[in-house]
Amino acid sequence: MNNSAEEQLRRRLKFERLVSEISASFINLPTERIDEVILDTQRRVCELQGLDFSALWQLSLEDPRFLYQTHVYRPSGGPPLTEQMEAESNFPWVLEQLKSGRIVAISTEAAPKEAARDQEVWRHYGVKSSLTFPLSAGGDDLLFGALTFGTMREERVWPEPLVKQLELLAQVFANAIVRKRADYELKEMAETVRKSADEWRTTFDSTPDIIMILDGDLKIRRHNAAAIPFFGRSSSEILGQHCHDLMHEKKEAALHCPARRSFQSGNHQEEEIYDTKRHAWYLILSDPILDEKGKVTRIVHRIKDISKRMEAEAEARKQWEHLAHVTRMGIMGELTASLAHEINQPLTAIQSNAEAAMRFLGAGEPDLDEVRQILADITRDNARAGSIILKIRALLKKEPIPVTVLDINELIGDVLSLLRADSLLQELVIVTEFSSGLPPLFGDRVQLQQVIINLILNGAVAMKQTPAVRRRLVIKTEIQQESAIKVSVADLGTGIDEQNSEVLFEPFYTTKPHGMGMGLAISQTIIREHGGTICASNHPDGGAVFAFTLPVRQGDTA
Amino acid sequence: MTDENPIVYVVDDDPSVRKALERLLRSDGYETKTFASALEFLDDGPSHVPGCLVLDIKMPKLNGLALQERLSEKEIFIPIIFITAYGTVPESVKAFKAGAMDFLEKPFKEHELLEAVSRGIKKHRILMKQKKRMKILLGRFNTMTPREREVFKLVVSGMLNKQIAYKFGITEKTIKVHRAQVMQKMKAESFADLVRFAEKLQIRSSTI
Repeated sequence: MNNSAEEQLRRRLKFERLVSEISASFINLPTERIDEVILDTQRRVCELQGLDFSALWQLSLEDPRFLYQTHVYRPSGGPPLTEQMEAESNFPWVLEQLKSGRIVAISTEAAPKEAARDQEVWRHYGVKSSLTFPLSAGGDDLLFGALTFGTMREERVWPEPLVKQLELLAQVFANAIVRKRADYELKEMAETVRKSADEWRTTFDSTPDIIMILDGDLKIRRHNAAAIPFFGRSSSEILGQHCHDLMHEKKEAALHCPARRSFQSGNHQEEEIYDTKRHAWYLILSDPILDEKGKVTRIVHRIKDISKRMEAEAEARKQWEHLAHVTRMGIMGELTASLAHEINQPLTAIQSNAEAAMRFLGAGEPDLDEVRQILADITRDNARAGSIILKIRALLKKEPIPVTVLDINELIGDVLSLLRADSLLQELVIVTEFSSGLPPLFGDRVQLQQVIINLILNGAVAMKQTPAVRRRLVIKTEIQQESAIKVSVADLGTGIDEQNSEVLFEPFYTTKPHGMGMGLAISQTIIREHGGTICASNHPDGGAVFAFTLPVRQGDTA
Repeated sequence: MTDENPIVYVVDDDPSVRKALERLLRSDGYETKTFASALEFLDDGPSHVPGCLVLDIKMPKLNGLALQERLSEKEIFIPIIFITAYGTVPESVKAFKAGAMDFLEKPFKEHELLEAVSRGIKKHRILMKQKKRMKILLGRFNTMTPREREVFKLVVSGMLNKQIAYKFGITEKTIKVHRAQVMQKMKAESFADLVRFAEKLQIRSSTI
């Protein structure tokens, strides 16, 4: 007996040591090890106390009517345990006890009448006696689970000291589980935060626009991925720098800087700029970030490359200019049509009158009065034709020249690409001999294009009779005495009558069967308006050369 | 009637052109009538003498091409010589399609106009002669009885008297009588004459 009492005492002490050891080990236990230690504790308790099983249940977080079995030690096996169990319908009585904070220590066969359903379930699982502790979180006594120890082979009693010690364990478990749950929630929350931060980061980084957050000093506080290649610097070399320093290499932000204006105004500001350093167009957008009091604390600053758009717009403008040019040519055509009508009327009258007069005079007894009358009419119609020509001259001189800076070689190139499809130019070779480094000209692009078109088309028409292999048009640009640019168009056509080279430029002078005789007249007017001269001569190798000069502005020589 | 002196009509809104053309045509011996607008010409109308119309295309209100259309609607088939100070291809195509004689661009050489006018008048004379002959033939045709007209049609289509008799269910003798009547009323000296008249009257194929 003595031995047995001693043995009992020794076991009791050992168990007490175990409980205090376990309690202590939970204090700094990392959350991911909690489950493992709980299971290990269940095993050691069962082994030391000769128990057959231990189970830890937790009420479902989603639906507290259900219990989840989370930690089970049952080495001898038994009927399969369901992972999830409806608490109310399986252990109504025990649940009631636990909710009231009571420990249930019971032998199945000695269960009270009220526990009939509980008893039935215990029997089903072969439980002979059991000890169940409520698990609750902190001080609010909210039940979240239960810890059970039990026997299956035989009934046993639950002495007070054992219950106390196991209650301590249950308390330790409950705390650990609460800690684990909190930790899980925290991690979950951190994950959500990280995910949404990631989402923002990706969005932030995936846009090709440069996005930065600037502080009150216009220093860069945050930036997206696009800023790194844009500035050609690493993130650490960007952060903390002044935006205007990185962007424009300026010590101070410009007065019109949208970020600066946004700070002052507290609203959205934007501006399109041409960056001469990067040779690109940018749209700069600034939006303030306000604090609760409505004070601007930060600026969201965006830099959007709009070069493509600006180029497209420039291209559209160019197309439009072409269109305007073509329209103008069309109007000119219409104008010449109505002028032709105007001028052909008196010419017809003159022709018919003169012929009639000759016939009358050839008759036996001419009616001289009539002839006199006819001559008067002829004089009048002649004056009428003359006045029409004067009107045309006046018309051609009317509009003032809109002056722009022009590169003559580029302008001729534009004309050639414009005329590329013209059937007249299909069967001839166009050679360009452009001098490089010519100073810029000042003049009306469309008008000068018109002159060049005229000369090219004239040259092409002049070569209609030239054998196809010889059809060559040479367009040459050169500087003349550093004060003028000379442009010449040489063909290998029929050439001109040099005696009459002045007449060539008179309105209505034409050698073409259906020509209007306006092209060179208009060209001359345009060149004169630009302060230049135009002339025609024959080339020693045959064909005609039409050349014009345009003055270079003094002091503008490149 | 067709031997009468021809008249050249000039329609042009430009007074000095009108006057000069009148003189030129007169110097070549033509009687002319000038009009300042297409409407004026339509009001006064061409008389039943041979002639031609010298017509400017570009005129206010009713232009030359529109006048050509109106004349065609009224079945006045006078040859038209268009004159224009600045012609376009579509205009000339339209004019020729509608039966224009000529299309001259101002300023034209006087002989171009005079030749065109002479051609126009010649054409008009022929047209008028044909029209006159047609009128006579129609008059003769209208003197026939319905039965005689039917016999006429069948005869010129090449049917034998026997066939015609069978078709109408009468004797060949009766057909012969009808046929003699047709020859006499149409003033045809031979069967060939009759066929030619039928052709002119455009009744040959409209039988059987």
